[in-house]
Amino acid sequence: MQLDGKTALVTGGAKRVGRVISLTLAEAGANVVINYNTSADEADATAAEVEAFGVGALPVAADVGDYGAVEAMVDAATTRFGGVDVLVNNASSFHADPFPTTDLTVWNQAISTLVNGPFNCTNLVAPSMLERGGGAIVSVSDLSAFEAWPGYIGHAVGKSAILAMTRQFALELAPTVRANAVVFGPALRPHDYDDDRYQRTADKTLLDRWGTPEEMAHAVKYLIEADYVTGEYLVIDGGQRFGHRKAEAG
Amino acid sequence: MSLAGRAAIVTGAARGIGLTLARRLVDRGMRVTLLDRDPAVRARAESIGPLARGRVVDLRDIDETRAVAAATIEEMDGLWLLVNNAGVFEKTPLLEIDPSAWDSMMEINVRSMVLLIQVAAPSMIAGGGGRIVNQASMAAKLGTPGEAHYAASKAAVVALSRIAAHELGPHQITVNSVCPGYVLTEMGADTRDPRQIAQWTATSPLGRLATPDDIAAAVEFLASDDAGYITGESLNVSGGACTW
Repeated sequence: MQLDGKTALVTGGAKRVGRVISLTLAEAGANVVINYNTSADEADATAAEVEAFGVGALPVAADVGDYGAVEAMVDAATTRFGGVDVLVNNASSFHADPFPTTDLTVWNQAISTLVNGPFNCTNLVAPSMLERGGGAIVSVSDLSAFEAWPGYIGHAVGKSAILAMTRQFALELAPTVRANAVVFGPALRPHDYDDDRYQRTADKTLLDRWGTPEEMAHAVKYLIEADYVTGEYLVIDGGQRFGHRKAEAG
Repeated sequence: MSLAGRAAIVTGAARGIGLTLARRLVDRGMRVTLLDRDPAVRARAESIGPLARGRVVDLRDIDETRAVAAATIEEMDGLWLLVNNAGVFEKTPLLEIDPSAWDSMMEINVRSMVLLIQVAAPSMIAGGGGRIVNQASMAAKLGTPGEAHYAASKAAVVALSRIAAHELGPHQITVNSVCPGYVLTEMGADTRDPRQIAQWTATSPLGRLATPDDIAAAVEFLASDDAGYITGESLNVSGGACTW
């Protein structure tokens, strides 16, 4: 699918990696619906950056786990741009989630954002994509889909679910709509990482470095454009998933 | 940030995916050397244009492979991209595979990649980075009866790519494999009939076979600057026939 002239909906598209995804798609000529939850200021700023590429931008607030809110968001996108051609399920949550627990708040939040969120958004854009004859979906996962992240059980289950959903989307919506996933490794330093933790993460990759949001967005763009790739997950992690074995190399 | 001006080697480039890829890379401004055992590779490269150059090499011959690869890299003054695309395919029931046929499949489909990586790596290391893309196949993960030697060779390519990624990572060289599904090229043409093509088409939820351009686009993506954080991966380009 060529992005020029299309409309993309990026959930969590206002800041950090989501913002760079929004800008990358805008640079390729797509209008961008910038979904955000609480980051209204960042969404407005990102919208201005998107418009600087000569395309349309529409910031829309919606908790993706809230079905009614997603319905309203998709309606707004359709009213403004005529429809959604590309959906990037990027919205995420990441909170400490001890197990076992007596407080289900974080678990429920993770499942809502990471399982219900992509389901809601994809379910609501798919009929129009099928009717209009085309669409591409890219959902964002991470390495917790493949290995345990102690302390983040809801997040890991959510990111795993995204891979299963991607396979389902791909097979259920074929041949008209393609669906793929990107699996991000370390892309952007979290605010609470001190220098020591930041370096240790880099050391565990095969390339001895963090990735960049641009590298993540570049992979998202490829999957949107690759007309024979569907049901696939593409890992962009600098080999971090193999990095645990670095010490064994002698 | 673009590939223009950089050097690439593509093996198995006289026809099919390799030739399509070579043309695509030249379109992006790369200097490309096409390697093949078929002497037609020289004329094919000439038809692409001045940025392309064809050389003949038998990848089963260790000395010849090393010599031609070294001379090519010297001539191009360094290397950004090595595409190990050369491969052979044929079907034989497992219980009938001749050991020499097994060896031959492994020599071309796997061992030649090791030889070329060994020659290319020092140059990429000196250049501060590079890209190695190895052509595997959906058969590495799935495959059908009659493909034991082919599938084993392609699974070897996936594993080889993974360890190469590990060893070459610190030098900012990424190594990935591409796993195409069914592609309509000359290779394997004598094993196909329309009914078989229909069967193969049906394996993809997208309802078509891959084109050489679908595969070339995947290689171009992996070769790009911004794909520098992707390594040790096997990228399926199978129209959904393989999802892992």
